[in-house]
Amino acid sequence: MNKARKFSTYAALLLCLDSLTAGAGIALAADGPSDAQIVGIVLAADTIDVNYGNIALKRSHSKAVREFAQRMVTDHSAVQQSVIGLAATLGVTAEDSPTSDGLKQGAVDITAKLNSLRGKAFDSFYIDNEVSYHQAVTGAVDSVLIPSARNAALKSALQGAQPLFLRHLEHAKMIQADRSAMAH
Amino acid sequence: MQRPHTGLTALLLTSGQLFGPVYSAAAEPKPAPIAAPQIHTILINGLQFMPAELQVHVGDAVIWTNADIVPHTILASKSFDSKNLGPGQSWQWVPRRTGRFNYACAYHPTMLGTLSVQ
Repeated sequence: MNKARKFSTYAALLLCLDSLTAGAGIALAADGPSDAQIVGIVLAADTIDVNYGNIALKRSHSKAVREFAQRMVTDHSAVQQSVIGLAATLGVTAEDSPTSDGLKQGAVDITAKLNSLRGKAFDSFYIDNEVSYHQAVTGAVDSVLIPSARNAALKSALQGAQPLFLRHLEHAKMIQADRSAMAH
Repeated sequence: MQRPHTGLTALLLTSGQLFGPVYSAAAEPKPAPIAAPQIHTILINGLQFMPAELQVHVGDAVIWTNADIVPHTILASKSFDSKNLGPGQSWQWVPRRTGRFNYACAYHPTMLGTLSVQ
């Protein structure tokens, strides 16, 4: 998958979220995804990045990439468990939505590509994907999910998770900027 | 009739009890009190060290507490390393020398902090 297609996949994520909000600007909360859909989106996004990380742990030989991948697996698993626990406390059952479905469908292509690559090509694609993925996720969390969350505890949890996603993005960009870190 | 010097003696004895002993001109000055070690806390929250910059003294205790839902570390190469610090866990370091110690989370390398030890 070339960069243009990959980026368009994540642009589609934002468009899906925009469609859930009927393209609204400021008044997102009234038309945005429901709390159940938000939980479904967050769980899908976390699961996908955990899976990407596990592929990287199997296929990458770069210390920097493997450390990053392990971080993605550990951290996104922690967020998953936190969201699952919160949803249970709130009595919210995760719901699928066009957004979560779109994420899962996009992940099929990315996963196939990751499994077809080796060496530096794998590392470059994996890290480039992590940068664009986290850019899309942090953008969606900030512009749609947080404003749309109706339950205060869910909103607070999203606000608490956002710094983690932003640090992941910073970390991925650090590795992306230093291609020598991906040397084997 | 009470002898005057008896009353005067009693007065001196009483004043000694009230005002404490009288030092002679040759008494040594009391040494300045040594400040007790302080305890400083740094909260790890929202993937930040709070405060990110802290001034402490040799012998003080610095305690980091992880309030995030993910594990962190506190690593200053060749100086201190907390190893894995899970959610809710704390770790303490007591500096034994002065200096400026830049540290980071080994898991999230954009998380940075500095200890200035005086």
